[in-house]
Amino acid sequence: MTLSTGSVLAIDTPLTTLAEAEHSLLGLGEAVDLPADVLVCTHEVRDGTPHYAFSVTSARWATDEATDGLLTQVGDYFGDWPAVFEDGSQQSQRPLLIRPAAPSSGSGSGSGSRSVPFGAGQALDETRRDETRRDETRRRDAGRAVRFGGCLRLTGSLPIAEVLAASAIDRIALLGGGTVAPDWQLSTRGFVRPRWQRGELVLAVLAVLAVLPAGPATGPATVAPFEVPNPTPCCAAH
Amino acid sequence: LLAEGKPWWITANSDSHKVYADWSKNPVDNNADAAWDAAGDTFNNFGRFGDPVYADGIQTAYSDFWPGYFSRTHVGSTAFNYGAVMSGIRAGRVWVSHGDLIAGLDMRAGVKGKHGPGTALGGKLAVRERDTVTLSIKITLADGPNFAQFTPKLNRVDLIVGDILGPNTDRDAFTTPSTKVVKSWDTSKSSGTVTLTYSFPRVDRPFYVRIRGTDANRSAPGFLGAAVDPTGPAIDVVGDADPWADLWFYSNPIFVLTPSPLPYNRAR
Repeated sequence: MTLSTGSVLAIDTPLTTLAEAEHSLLGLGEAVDLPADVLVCTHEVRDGTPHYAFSVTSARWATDEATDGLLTQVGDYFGDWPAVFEDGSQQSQRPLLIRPAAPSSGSGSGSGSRSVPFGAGQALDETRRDETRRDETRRRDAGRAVRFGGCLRLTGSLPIAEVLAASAIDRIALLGGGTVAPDWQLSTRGFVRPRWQRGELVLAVLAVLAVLPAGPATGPATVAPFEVPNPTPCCAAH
Repeated sequence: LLAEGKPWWITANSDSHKVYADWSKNPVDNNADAAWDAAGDTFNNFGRFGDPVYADGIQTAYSDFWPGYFSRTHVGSTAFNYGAVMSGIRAGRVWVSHGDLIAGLDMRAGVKGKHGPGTALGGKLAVRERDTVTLSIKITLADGPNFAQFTPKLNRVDLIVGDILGPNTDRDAFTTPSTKVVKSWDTSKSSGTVTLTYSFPRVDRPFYVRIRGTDANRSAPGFLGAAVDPTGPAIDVVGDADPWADLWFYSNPIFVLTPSPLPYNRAR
C-alpha cells in the first residue's frame, strides 16, 4: 500500500482496554459513510494515563469541504466523551484534523488549553498526544488497523495470495520464523487486525493445526492471525 | 540484566486456580458443557468458568497441578528448613525444569589448577586475567516417570555465554551484544549421570555462563537468528501444543569476574 497523502482525523478516547476500543468503533461504519480506502487504526497512547486513540485516514479526502463534513459526522459519533481541561471546564472531545501539510514539529500548541486525562488528576500534554497519533499514522509504524482497504473480504479461510491481492495488507509475518507460501491458507476467524511496521501493513500469524472433516490437513499449511477475537482475560477463573 | 552483571534469578511456577481442600469451587464442578450463568455461558463457549462459589465444606474432588508437577524450581538448599530454601533462592542456587526433564544438576566453575568445590549456580568466581576457567556440569538423568507417566529423555544440552558489560545506558535495550549459545552437547546416548566440561582458556573479560537442556522434540532458530541460538524453543502450533512433548530445563548463571573495569569496552 502506498503511503496515503490524505488528511488524518485523530480521536482521543478515555478507553483503556482494547475490547472497549474495538466496541466503540463497531458502529462507526454504519453511522458515517466512510470511503472504501478508509484506514481506521487504534493507537496505544503511553503517557501518564495510558489509553487508546483512534486515527481515521483516507486518501480521497482531497477537498476541505469533504473532510470537514466527515469531521462533523465522526465528531457526532464520538462526541459523548468529555475532555476535562485544566481550568476545570469540560467540553466534548472533538476529533482533531491533521492536514497533509501539518508541520512535523509539535511547537504549534499556543492555545494554552492543557487537558487533564479522563477521570484522572494528572496533567497531560495535549500536544504530545497529538504527536503520538500523528507520528504513528504518518510514519506508519505502530497503528493497529481495524478498517483497511479490502478488510471486508477477509472472512472465512482463504489463500495467502488472495489476502495480499485483495487487501491492503503488505506482508504476512509468521511468528517463530519461516515464511508463508502463497498457497497456504489463512484462517481469519473473521478477525484480522494488521499493524503498521516501518511503513508496511503487517499481519502476524501463527501456524495452526488444521482439523478438517477428513482429519489433519495434508495439503498446504494453515495459519491464523496471532491476535484472537476473544482472548481469555489473564487469570480468568478457568 | 545478566549482561549488566546483575543477579536476575530464574524461577518457574504456574498459576493455581483450584486447590485441594479449598472452601470454594467453580459453579459447575469442572463440567465444561454445563452453563454457569443464566445467559447459557459454558466453559466451552466462553473460555472460562464463572466466579467461584461456596463449596459447602472443603472440596476434595479436583485440584490444579500440585506444586512442581509440571514446572518446578529446584533450589540448592544447605539444610532442611524454610529459611535455608529462601537463602538458596536469594543466593541463586536455582535451576528450573518442565515435566521432571532431569533429576539433578550440579554445575560449577573453577580456575584450572586450583582445588576446591568451585563456584555454584548464582555465584561469582573471581579470577585473574589470563586464568583458564573450567566449567563442570553433572546432570542426573530422569530415572522415573513424571506426572504424565513417562520418563523424559534429555537429548541436548546448550551452553550459553555472554559478556558482562556493566550498566546499560539504554534502558530499553532488549538484547545483549555478545550473548549466544557457544556449545551444544548431544546427550541422547547417555544414561545415568552425564558429565560435561567446557574450558574458557585465558579469560580476558568478565562473563556469565548458564545452560539449558531439552528433549529436543521441538526446536527452531531463536528470535535473534541461528548465529545466536541455532536450536532454541520453537513457537507453539495453535491446536497442537502438548506441554509434555516439549520439555526444557534452564539453569541460573555463574558469573566469572576479571579485574577488568566495567563497563567493558563495547567496541571490542
